[in-house]
Formats: sequence, C-alpha cells, structure tokens
Amino acid sequence: MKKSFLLLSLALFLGGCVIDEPWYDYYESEYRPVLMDRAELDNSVKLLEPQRHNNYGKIYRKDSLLFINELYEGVHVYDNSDPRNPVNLGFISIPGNVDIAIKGKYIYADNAVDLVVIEFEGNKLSVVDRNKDVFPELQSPDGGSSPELSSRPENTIIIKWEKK
Amino acid sequence: MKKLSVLISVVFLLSSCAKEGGGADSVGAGNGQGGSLARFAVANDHLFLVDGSELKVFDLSKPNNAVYLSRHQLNTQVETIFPRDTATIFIGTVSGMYIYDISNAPNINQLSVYNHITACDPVVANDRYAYVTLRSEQNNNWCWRSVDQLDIIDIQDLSNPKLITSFSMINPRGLGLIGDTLLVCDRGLKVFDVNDPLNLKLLDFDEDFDAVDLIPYGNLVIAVGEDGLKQYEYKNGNLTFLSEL
Repeated sequence: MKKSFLLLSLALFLGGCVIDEPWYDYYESEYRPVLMDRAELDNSVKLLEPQRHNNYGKIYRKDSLLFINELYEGVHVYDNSDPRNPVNLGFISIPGNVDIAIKGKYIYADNAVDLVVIEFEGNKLSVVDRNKDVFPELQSPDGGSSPELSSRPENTIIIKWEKK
Repeated sequence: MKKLSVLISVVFLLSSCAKEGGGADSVGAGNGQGGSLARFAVANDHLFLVDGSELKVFDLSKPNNAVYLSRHQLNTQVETIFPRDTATIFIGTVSGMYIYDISNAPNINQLSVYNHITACDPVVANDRYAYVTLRSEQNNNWCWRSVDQLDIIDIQDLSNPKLITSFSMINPRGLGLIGDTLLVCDRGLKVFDVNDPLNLKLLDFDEDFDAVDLIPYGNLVIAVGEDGLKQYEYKNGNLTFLSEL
C-alpha cells in the first residue's frame, strides 16, 4: 500500500521530466511498463461492478458522489449521501488514470496520455470526447529507464508501471 | 434524549453537506471538488491541468467537449493546483507557490511566485493566507533535500506574498481549510485553530489514521490514506468519526 502511494507521488513529480532533464542520470527502473494498443485504449473506458480497493489514490467529490482513484486503473464511485454509510455503486475503468475533475454530469480524466470526457449519469456511462496525447507518457515511479521500451511495438501506450 | 441529540447532529450534518460554494468547496456552479493534491481543477467554464512543468487550459463552455486553449510553462516541477475562487488559482511546485489570475481565462496572468526551499508542497488558501506544507521525501529525487514544515503566507496582496511564519511538522502531506480551522495530514490527521497565525493551536489529532489528503465540505471531512478512507464530522474543534472504507 505504501508503495502505491509513493508510486503515485513519484509519478507526479517525475511525469514528463526524466527525458527532458539532461542532468538526470540513466539507471534501470525497478518497474516494468505495461503497454496497451492505441486502438484498445480508445475503447478502454467502461463502467464495471463494484471492485475491491487495492490502493487508495486521489479523491474527488461532486454533490453526494464520492470518487476514489485506484492508481492507473480508474475510479471507485460511492453514493456518499449518508457519510456514515457510503455505498459502493461501481467502478469506472480508465486505464492509466491518476486524476479526475467534474463539471455537471461530465468527468474529465487522464486515460494514460489522453484526456477523456465521460458522460456519467447514475448507471450509464459514455465517452463523449477524447483529446489524444495531451499528457506526456506515464514515467516509471522511480524515474528509471526501462530496457523493455527499446523493443516496443508500434502504436502502444504505457498504461501503468508494475514492480518487477 | 440520546435519540434526539443524534437526530440533531444528523440534521446538522446534512444541512452542512447541502451547502455549496465558498472556501475550498467547488468553484463555479455544478463543479466538483478535489483534494489539495489534485492536478486537475475546474473553475467556471475552464479546466486547468498541471503536468510536468506545464499548466494547460481547456474550455468547457460546452462541457461535453473539452477544447484545448493554451499552455503555460512554469519551468519547475508542478505538482498541485488549488482553485481558490473563480478568479484565482494557486499552484504548488517543488520550488514554490505560484498565484495566477484566471478571471480572463484563457488569458491567464501570473501574479506572483513565493519561492521556498526545494520540497514537495501542496497549497490551500483563503482570502488572507495561503498554507503550504513542505515535505521531505528520502526516496524522492526531487525532495530529499528539504524540511518538513507548514508555511503560512500573507496573500492579502496577491502580487506580493509574504511569509508570516513556519511551523515544524513530522512529514506533512495534503491539507484543507474549514473557516479558521486548518486540517493537515501529518502522520495522522491534525486539526489546528489558525485564527492567529502566530499562535497555532492543535485542537484535535487522529493519530490512528495516516491520512495523505482530504476534502473539507461543509462540516464533513473526507480523508484518504494509503490504506483506506475515513470520514469525520468536524464541529467545535473536534473530529467525530463517521465511517471508514
């Protein structure tokens, strides 16, 4: 658990910078990248049944709904109208997700390198907009480089990093 | 009697939860609210994103279509964004706190930078003060140098922020404001009376929950840790446990 959060914070600090910073020495990461085909990423946002929490990422509130990020996986959705008894409504699978923000019924989320707009009402969900390649690719949590990426298949996106 | 008091407290709780707007609550009608570690923020009809060293602005006047408008280079490692109100956002970076006027977004205007020692730092603010936690992190290449403290910065003049005072912390993370009460995640969840910034009073402390970030909403406090989520009612300086996940 501790590692997941460290991972999250490191990902934030290092996002987009490792490549840009020439003074940053090369070393091999203790994590390996998980790749997804671009075509699969384009259709990767889904509403699922409630899922177990494996790690607790960032939190977000809209009216009586509470969203809890599962790092790189998506968000758990709770009905929090009674904070003594939050009810797990389901899980929005968003590969590569770290943050969300909400306006009205629209959720703005990072879906790996893309910014997606998700229309979410009660029990249905649809992706209504996708801005491709808005974000730099997810960097390894420890800032190290990955030899796996040198033989990387074309049209793939890093959706998460896993401990080797 | 007991039932009545429970009923009253529930009513209080619900009425406080129904309140919208002001302080750290959502900025602009229909917008949600994140914790202090958020990298995304919605204010009025704009979405602000920070990543790497950039701030990006999207237009949401048609909320089902996020239209990319502009990007702003901060030349430092950007970590968090706090929308104080529809005109002002605070950005936490490893080198300092940036204040932007967003009232004419996408034409945004950097009002000032408050520089501090290299550290990991979320920020929250009210009309008068900004509160920044500086955290050392031995496993993090960006932050290993730094100290663990809370800085209180006078921001009455947004273009000229002035450090009022600093307090030692253990290893502070996210933070949030309920009026003159400041909640800080610092190896537990601490509640401070910050009415007099030179004389912070610790009002309550849940040592048993290693909180990382929080959302204050009315009198409700939603706190997330590495291993779970805990909700409290805040009243008269005390946190009352409501539920945990």
